[in-house]
Amino acid sequence: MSGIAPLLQFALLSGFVLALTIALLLAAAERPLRNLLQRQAPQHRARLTWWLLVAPLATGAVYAAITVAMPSLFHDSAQFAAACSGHTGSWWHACVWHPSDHGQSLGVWVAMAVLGGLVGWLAARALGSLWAARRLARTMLRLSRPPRHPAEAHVLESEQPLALACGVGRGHVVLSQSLLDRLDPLQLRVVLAHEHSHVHHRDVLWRLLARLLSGLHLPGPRRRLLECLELASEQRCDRAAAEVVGSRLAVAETILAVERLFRGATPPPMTAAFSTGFVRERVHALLSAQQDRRGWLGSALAATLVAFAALSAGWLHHFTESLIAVLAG
Amino acid sequence: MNPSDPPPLGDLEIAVLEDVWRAGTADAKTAHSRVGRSRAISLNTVQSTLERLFRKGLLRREKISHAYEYTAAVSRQELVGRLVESTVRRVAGDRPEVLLSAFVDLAGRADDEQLRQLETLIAQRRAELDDAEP
Repeated sequence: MSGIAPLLQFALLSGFVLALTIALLLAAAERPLRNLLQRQAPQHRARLTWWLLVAPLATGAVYAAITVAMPSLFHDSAQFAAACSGHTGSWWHACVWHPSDHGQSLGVWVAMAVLGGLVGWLAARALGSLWAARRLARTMLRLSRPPRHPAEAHVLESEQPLALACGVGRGHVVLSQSLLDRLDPLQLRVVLAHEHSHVHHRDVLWRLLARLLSGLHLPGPRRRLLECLELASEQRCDRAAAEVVGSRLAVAETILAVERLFRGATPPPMTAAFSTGFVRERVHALLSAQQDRRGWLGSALAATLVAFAALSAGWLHHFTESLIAVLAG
Repeated sequence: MNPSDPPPLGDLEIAVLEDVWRAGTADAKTAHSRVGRSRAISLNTVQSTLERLFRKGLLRREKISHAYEYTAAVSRQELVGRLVESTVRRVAGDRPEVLLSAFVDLAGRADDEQLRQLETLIAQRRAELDDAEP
């Protein structure tokens, strides 16, 4: 442990600093990024937004892993050697490529343990909530009628209109009997096609991962990116439904019809806190004649991120050493 | 878990509950004969399932002679209603549930004026399409 410990400490801290830096940069560039995303087709937008959500954590983790697995990648780097020469003798020196016997700090390990504990506690809380939701969904499926033609969905004997996709692994579509009774056959086909598209794309799983892995973003940008992901996946499923029934207008009409049904059935306290949602955006997107653009944005963003991570090695090296020095007192 | 959330139920619990709903009352032996034998499970298992359902507040019980007789404390419709309500609350809450994806956004409702405008827009588009058709 003592051999790998300094390297591990440096790698974890570097990864963390890089992840936070990327989160801050994405927050600073949020508005132009979202404008660019708006011009993408829903399927591209959903994929890109997902990657933007997980980018800080993923980049930090990859950087830390590369630092641990391949320290020789940067071995003999003149830049680092020059940077380290000024303080190689000092006790807090924590360079991966020129390690000393004192290249780690107990204080940093304690800080990391506290941070790890906090993350673990938050993760346990999130998993507990997910577990409760999963059990609720399973109970709902058990109490429903199994899928059969023509509904191809679990049907719940309920007066409350309900249409949803659930399940992380094998997904299921659940409709309430009340909704089945009130929709005409074309509207029912739209709802089923939309929900089956969610199941087909495993949207529930990807959304879950996005929520779990986007924790390093600042709260505001994170919430807005999650909303963007949500809207993109809804619009992608609207398009899939439009292809199945052969009419975008029919999908738009169904969204409004179902919204009207929900408004009539949902108790007021549930809706009072919110004024607007995705209905307008979804209907406008279905009615617009906007052509899909070619998906170059993903490649450009990925290239920028990789270039930034690669070029940041130098300052990250200095910054992390300074940070360790400050933390070590 | 929210106190008004219905308790999670396993396959056997639902089967036993369905049996009580169908038959009106059940004790461990009758429930076992109707539900347990076909599943090759013991009387004890059925007994503990009834006990769990009682503790979850879904069954009532009364001791008759040496055995408990169980009746439903909630109807099927009531339980499903609570379940749907809880589901809607989770999807519509300020931290929407990620395990569920509703057809319309339950959290962000459009107001009446917005809906009317959208309906007018769709009607216009429908009329344009109808006019364009030969």
